[in-house]
Amino acid sequence: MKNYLYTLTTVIMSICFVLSSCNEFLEEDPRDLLAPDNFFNSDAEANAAVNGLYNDFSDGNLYRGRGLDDFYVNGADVIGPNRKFGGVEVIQSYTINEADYGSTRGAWQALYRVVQDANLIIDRVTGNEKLSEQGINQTLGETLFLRSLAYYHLTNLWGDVPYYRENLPLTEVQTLGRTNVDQIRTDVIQDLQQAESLLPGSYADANLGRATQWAAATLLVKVYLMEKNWPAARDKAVEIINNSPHRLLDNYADVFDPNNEYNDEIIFQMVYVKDLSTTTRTDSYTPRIRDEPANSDERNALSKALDARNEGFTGYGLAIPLPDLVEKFPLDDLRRPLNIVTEYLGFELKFPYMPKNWNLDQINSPRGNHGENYIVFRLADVYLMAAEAENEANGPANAFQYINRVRQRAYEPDKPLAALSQQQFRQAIYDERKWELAGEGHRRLDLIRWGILLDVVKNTKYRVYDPAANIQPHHVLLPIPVEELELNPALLESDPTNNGYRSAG
Amino acid sequence: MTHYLQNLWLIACAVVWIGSMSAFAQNAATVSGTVTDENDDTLPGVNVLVKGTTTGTVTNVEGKYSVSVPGDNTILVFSSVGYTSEEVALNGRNTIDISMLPDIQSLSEVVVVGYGATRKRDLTGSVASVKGEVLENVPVPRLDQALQGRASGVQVTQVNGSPGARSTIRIRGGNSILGNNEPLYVIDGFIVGTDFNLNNINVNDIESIEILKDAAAISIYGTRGANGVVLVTTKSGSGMAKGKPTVSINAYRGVQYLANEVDLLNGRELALYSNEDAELRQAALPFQDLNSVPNVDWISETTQDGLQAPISNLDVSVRGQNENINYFVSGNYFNQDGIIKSSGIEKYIFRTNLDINLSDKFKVGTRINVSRLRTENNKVAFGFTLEEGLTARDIFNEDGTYNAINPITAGVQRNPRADVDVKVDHEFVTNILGNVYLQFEPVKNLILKSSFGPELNSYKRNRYNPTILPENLIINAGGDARVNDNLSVNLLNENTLSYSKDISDQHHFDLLGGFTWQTFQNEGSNSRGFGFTNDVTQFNNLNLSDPLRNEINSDWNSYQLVSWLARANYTLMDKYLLTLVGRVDGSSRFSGSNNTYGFFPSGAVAWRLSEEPFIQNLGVFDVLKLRASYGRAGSQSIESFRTLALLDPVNAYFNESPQAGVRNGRPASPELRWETTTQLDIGLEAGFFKGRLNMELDYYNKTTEDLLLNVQIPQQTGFSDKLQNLGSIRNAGLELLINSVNIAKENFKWSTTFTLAGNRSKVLDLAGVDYIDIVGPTNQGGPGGRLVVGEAVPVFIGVEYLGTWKSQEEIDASTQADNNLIVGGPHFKDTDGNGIISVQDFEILGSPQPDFYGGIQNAFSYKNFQLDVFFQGTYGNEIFNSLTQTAFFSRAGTNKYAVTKDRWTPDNPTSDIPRAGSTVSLSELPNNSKNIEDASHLRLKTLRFAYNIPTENLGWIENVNLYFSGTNLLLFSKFTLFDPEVSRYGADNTRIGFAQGEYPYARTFTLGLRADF
Repeated sequence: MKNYLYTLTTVIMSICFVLSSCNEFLEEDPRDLLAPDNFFNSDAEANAAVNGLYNDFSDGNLYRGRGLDDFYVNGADVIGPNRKFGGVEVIQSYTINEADYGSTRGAWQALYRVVQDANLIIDRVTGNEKLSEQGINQTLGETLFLRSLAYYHLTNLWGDVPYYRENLPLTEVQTLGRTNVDQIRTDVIQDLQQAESLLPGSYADANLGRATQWAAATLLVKVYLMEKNWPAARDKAVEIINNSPHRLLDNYADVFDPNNEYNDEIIFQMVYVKDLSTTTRTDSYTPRIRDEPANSDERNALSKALDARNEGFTGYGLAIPLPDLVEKFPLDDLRRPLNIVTEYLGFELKFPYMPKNWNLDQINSPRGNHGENYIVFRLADVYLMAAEAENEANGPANAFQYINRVRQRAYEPDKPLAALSQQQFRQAIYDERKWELAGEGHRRLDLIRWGILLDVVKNTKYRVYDPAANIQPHHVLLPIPVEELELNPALLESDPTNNGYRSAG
Repeated sequence: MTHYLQNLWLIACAVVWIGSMSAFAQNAATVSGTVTDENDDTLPGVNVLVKGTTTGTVTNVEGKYSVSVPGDNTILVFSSVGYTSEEVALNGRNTIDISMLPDIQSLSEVVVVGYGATRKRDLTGSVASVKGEVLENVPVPRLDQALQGRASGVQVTQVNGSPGARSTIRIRGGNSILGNNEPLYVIDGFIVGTDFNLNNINVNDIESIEILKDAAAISIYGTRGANGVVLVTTKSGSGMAKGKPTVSINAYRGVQYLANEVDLLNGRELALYSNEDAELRQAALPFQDLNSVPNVDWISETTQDGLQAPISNLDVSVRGQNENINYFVSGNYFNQDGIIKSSGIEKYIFRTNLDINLSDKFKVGTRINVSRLRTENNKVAFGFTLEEGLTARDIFNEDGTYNAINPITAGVQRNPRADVDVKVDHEFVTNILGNVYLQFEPVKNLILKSSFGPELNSYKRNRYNPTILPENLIINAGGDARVNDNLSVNLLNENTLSYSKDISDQHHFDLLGGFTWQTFQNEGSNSRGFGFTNDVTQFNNLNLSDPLRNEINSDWNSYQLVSWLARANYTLMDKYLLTLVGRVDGSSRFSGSNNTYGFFPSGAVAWRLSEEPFIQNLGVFDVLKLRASYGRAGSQSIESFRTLALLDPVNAYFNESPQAGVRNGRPASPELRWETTTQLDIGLEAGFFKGRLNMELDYYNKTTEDLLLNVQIPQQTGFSDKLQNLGSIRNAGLELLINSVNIAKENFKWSTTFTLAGNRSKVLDLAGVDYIDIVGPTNQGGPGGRLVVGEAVPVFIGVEYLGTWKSQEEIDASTQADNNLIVGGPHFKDTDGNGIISVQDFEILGSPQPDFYGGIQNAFSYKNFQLDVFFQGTYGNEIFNSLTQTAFFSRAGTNKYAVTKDRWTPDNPTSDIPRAGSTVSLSELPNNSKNIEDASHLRLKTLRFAYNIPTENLGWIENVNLYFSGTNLLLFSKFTLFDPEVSRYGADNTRIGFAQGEYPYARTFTLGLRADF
């Protein structure tokens, strides 16, 4: 009996031993993975997480490729495809609806990825004793700016959107309804003011491309314009003009020189590099040889002429000036050759193109392997915003200086504006922004905030599609994709019409 | 290497030949005896043959025989229809009396099951068995291919025809969507997992393959058994004549011929087509002078056949046993050049199997397999050659460089000939699969067995695209190289205790219990270099690449498992059988969750009706058994570390230089668990005519729940989906196996094995959504596949192709009047009538799941000649052919099917083949019914003709078999791309039945010789 008991005890003990050591044995050993729980231990790690936000923005749905240009460039009076093209069709033709929405959903997700990632960073670095104060400030400054940029786009495109600024559990985030756009912009203004105070005014060479205090200030001007807070917009714009190290280059063409991308005029840009982090946006603006030249019998001759310069028409021709722009762009404007060409190397072209956004260089910028940065903010834009805000706040008297500073390099000899009424000045701004900033991702939002999108689209000459016949008042905002409504019905609570794209009830 | 093999082959032949010449006289003697049956009644008409000769006799009416034998070492073979053949070694005796047992297969046949073996008659579960003899002498280099059509309910589909290509195996249908649907492979008891590279195993080493199909059979493998289990047992020396080793040589050499034929427009026809296309679109004519258009057959430029594409194989093995040891030692060399130039596989495989009796109580043994593979990977996809190897495009430029320009679009295009000529891409695998065991039997029938072994796998792949590759040259990109390394270690220890006991002759118990643990670790690295200016060093010195553009990466993977398993078999009165099985698995993959351990029980009952007097009285059945099983098995289909949240490494760029960054990769998923398959199986086994006809019929119905799905979550979270256990799939079906001996005369025998199975799969639940796209249907040019609730797994979707628009009136009268359509252009059905052809119009157009599939093997023997004919096929399945998007519809710049000669033109206005130029962009082409084709096929998979050379005078040569065999000789199929047994997505879980022109199959003819000494 004793023996038996002894055996039984041994067996039970060994089973217990086996079971407890089993749990240890079964522990996972994820050696090649980083987890949020074991990160944010140093300034360098916080910086790496911020770098992740820049990567988020370089996404194909935002600044790489067509990205946000789908919503800011297409569907206005400047740029369109040279043929039917599904990628931009729903915006360009205003047939967009909540089920057929082009790249809308991709942009929606990409922007919320910034929000999610930024919230994690803010949560982990705030009060983190492993980081230096300077590290925390720099991290928070960049993160607040980049999250604000995400909400800026979200509210521009959809108006009221789900809004969260903390590192919440997914179960909570995925049931959020839409928050009023004004409340979001109020917070964004505060965030940007904080970012402004935390960020440096410039960086050493290795960090060119990071957000500065002036990037935050420029975004602040843009948010003020959306809110029609004219004095605040003007003050901030003037502050940038007067106090920032940025200046207008003497020559308009130099701003877009692929060999001088970090020039003084550019306030914020997304960096792309040939072979490493490439963009196809350039391909959209570059002609394709099968379309050119106008006389197709001369195609071989054109190819040879291009070859001799190590150039090529190897693009898609999917983002080219609309006939309207070609007709209206003043012929004596020195900016015109950078915005419109109709012949090249002596060959008459079938379509017009926008050289400031193309690159024919087959050695340094071949097809599918372009490194041209995306200019997000530049000083000329700030001058024109200062002019616009001052005109709206106080009339044109003090606004001429800003618009004329931009026009100074556009005409030889100078053609300064003077003696315009407030309304005439407004019209001048409408035009000046079109000539100065054509194809740079501002136009459609400008038309929307000025309240003239419908009017302009109905009176613009397009090459393909018939947007004038289709555009409706609700097209100033995008529909939330129907899949998102199905996954989160709370999105319909505050606005059952989904920005006017479905009948209520 | 080929020369080396040729030499070996010649040596092998020479050895045999010399052996036959040097036949020397032995002391002839006479042996006699009496043959009886199981009831001790004498048996007349039994064939008695001296093994390896044609010398023999037949027993007389009293069951007596007398035969003269060449020597003391002779073996006599006793055979008679309805009885199991017996081989008896003389060992100096001159009187041999034997008692023969009825050859009711299930009586004597032993079947390997998980953690043991059982007589087939005692089996309560559903197990398919393929014996090694069937695989011998058939030049099939992989065991999965050998299973095709031979095991019912086991659907084997080779992914393509490249040398060493894997197959997908679905045992009773696929259970999983994201997990793995391949069966678990267990080789001599070692669990190697679902992705084991079967090229490491020499088919000629295999004694038997058993496929466990029902719950009672698979739940002993717990979280890994749900997809079925393939047990591979290799040969040993047990069962051999004592003392004398048997040396076997098997050598064969074959040639291959391209079996695929795809008819395309020739150069001039394509030029005409392209000009017509350009004319319609008012573009410049790409071919100004039709007389100078080349006509290039890119397929023959990139393929090879006959002696340029040889297959060579040599096996040498020695097996035998002494009092205390039995052994099997083998070596294999295999070399196959692919049908596409610059592709192939070369293998060396060595095996040692030993079992040593240390004493009455202790036994040790080992199974060791060592293999070395070198695969020359394919350099150019056949589909690319079909689509983009334009018949109207020159191979070379005038200056002798490779042409890189598509003459129709003027764009840059790869050159298939350059790909096979100059690209470098090969891989090496070195695999060691070893296992030692110790067995202890302290009291009779109580066996304690402990085994331990590693699987070590080393993998290296080298790639180099040289500077002279035309697409590199034209943009001056330089060369680019890539090197991958992988090293994995898989350790397994299993400890089992088994006990069997008879209580009176009424009750029989078999009990098994066990504890096992397994660990797996893998380290990989991957380096790439770009911008090489010189091709001399290729991938061997990555430092010579552009220092700014290196890519380096390394990774780690590991998991651990612990398991407890138990099985009890109880037999009452040899009639009523009961099996209870259970396994508890603890998996590290779920240790981040609350579901670390899972329990998988099952039970089975069987009733051997043929033991009942009322059946025996019928006098019809030799065997009649009814069995049923029910139970669960799992699939731990998530990857390691999948429950944990991740940060993904990314780069950000500042001042044109990268800086390292991270961002949220995926959210944590602590609630994840394994997928569970619950299966019911009902089987009937029947044998008639003294074992000459055997049938096995099974019905099964299994439901898999907790399917892992990437469930969409609102993207306002920043994520798009999250892995969750939510879906459910059902598979139900019937399986039939028939073995029959149709004719059994003394000199002529004909037997047939027939397998047939039909599986019906159905998606039951997809986590609340109606469908999931598995192949994005909105991609330009498709393809489109979906899982749809209530439908088979998967289905093809698209709109119906209604032919061409015949007149402007027809267009104007349709809903699509506003779409700028042209007469002669493709007419797609606007299902929802809203005027726009979009995803909303998609209908279900077919499924790659066959209604049934199977195989039929007929074996004939006449005297020393044998003929085996094996057909295999599927019926009722469809295939999605993506090539049709470009080769049938009219987008400029690609090859066209030859049928487009009859395309719509103003002069041929009734044609339903679209007009040249009617499609400008692939985005105008929705997935459509023209892409869907019937994939039913019947294949003469192997035909083998063999001759046993009489060896009675050859002394020490026992057996010489000369054989000629052909594989893939005939294919009955209507598929445009010829062979529908392809998978564009390889061994993917659900994305099956998609084609775009896969590596083609060869017809193979081999001549071989097998000899035993």
